[in-house]
Amino acid sequence: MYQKDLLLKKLRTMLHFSNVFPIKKAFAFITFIERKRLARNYFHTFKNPLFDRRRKLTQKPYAPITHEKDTITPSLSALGARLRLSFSNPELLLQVVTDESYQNTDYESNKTLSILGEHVCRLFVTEYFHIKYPLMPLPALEEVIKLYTGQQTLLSFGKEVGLSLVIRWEKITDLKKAQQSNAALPLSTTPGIALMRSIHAIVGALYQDKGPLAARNFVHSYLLSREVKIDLVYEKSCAKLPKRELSLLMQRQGKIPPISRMLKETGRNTNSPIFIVGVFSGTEKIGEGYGSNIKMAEFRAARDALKSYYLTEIKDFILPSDVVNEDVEYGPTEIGDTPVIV
Amino acid sequence: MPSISLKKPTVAYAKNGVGAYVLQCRKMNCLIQSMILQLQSEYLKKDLIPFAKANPEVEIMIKPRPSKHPCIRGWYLNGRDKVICVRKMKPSEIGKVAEYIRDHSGQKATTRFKKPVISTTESVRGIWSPFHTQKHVI
Repeated sequence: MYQKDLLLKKLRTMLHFSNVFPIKKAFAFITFIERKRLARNYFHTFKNPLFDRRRKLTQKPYAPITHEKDTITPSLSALGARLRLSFSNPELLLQVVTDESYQNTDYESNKTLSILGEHVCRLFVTEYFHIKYPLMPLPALEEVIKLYTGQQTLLSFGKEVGLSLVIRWEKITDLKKAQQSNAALPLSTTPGIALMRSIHAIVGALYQDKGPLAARNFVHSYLLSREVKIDLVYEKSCAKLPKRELSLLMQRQGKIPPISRMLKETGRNTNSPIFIVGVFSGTEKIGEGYGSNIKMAEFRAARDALKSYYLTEIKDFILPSDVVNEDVEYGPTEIGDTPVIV
Repeated sequence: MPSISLKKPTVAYAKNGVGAYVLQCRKMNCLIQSMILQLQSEYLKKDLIPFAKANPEVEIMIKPRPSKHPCIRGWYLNGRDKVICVRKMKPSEIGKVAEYIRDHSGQKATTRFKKPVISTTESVRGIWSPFHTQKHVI
């Protein structure tokens, strides 16, 4: 920038005194400076052993490194280290990131591994939540599993870990050619789907290559460590009629039917009242809720009572997949009761 | 009262370090002036290769950059980058810069005044401080 400005300034001054300094001469002078600059750059290229001397000046001085077909790039091996993947065969790492739409490869695509991995992923997540929350109703459990293994979560995981930078995927633009070459070619693959398949394939490859415990370790440490507000999931997927459900639940458990009692209230005759209602079974308080009207407060109180029952958490449990470890003796946890039929 | 989100949750949010810790620096470019400068070449020969071996999560590149200041640029998983100039630095100092870039989160360095803590489980009353309560009596 600086040199260009300088040149322009010089040109202007020369044009100003054009009667003294002919325009032709001025341009000649500029080209001379330009040549000098180029020569200096060229000198640098000679000095630098990293630089190829035979390269012409018209070319970009440092072109990006192009890798050969089917080589493990530095970014891919860095990803392997980031996810702590130590496959017995390093080429498996390459296969795992190769989508079936990628043409320039001799390896098989990751499709089979991804199908295996998808099921493995779901198995470990389901197993964990089914044992941790034995009383959780099915719609909520399904929603939680979907949240942990679903597309949106996996996509954000892939981006956060840098997998989206290394997946080998191609957009098939020439539809006719694709149909001619291979009828079964995936025409609708998007980068998101390719990314999701790649994550599944990592789990599948770990399962096949390193065994179920390694795959489970991956799922637990990278996917199950993510956060979902489970009570919110329960609220949204179940408990549409909490008062009725709670009274049926109490009836089935042989407890005294629930009664709502006002605990606190303020500003009943204003435009912004607040009521706090408790639900009682006999003398035991089983839930509490707030609301700007009494009906909503009762609703929330009943929902709170249901939540505290259905989302009972079990701590220090053994998972069925722990049996792979020979030291651990599996003792099943109690299977939870089914939710009431409303 | 804490703010209550009425939306149905759609994503499980990442909590880096709860399960596995993912290093946020993904790539490091050592942009060097020329190989002839002694201090830099000393760092490259002696320290950079052990550094690269110790941190396999970080992809390390050396890139010549004639007639400009030498610097180290880190690329992060959140898409940002961070550049630090290492002109006239000793090899040990360059090593410290490289470690700083490796350990950085890549987030923009700004002081947060209104909400000093970013949290998914926010406390209404702020963070508990041992210096602002009654003294513990044994």
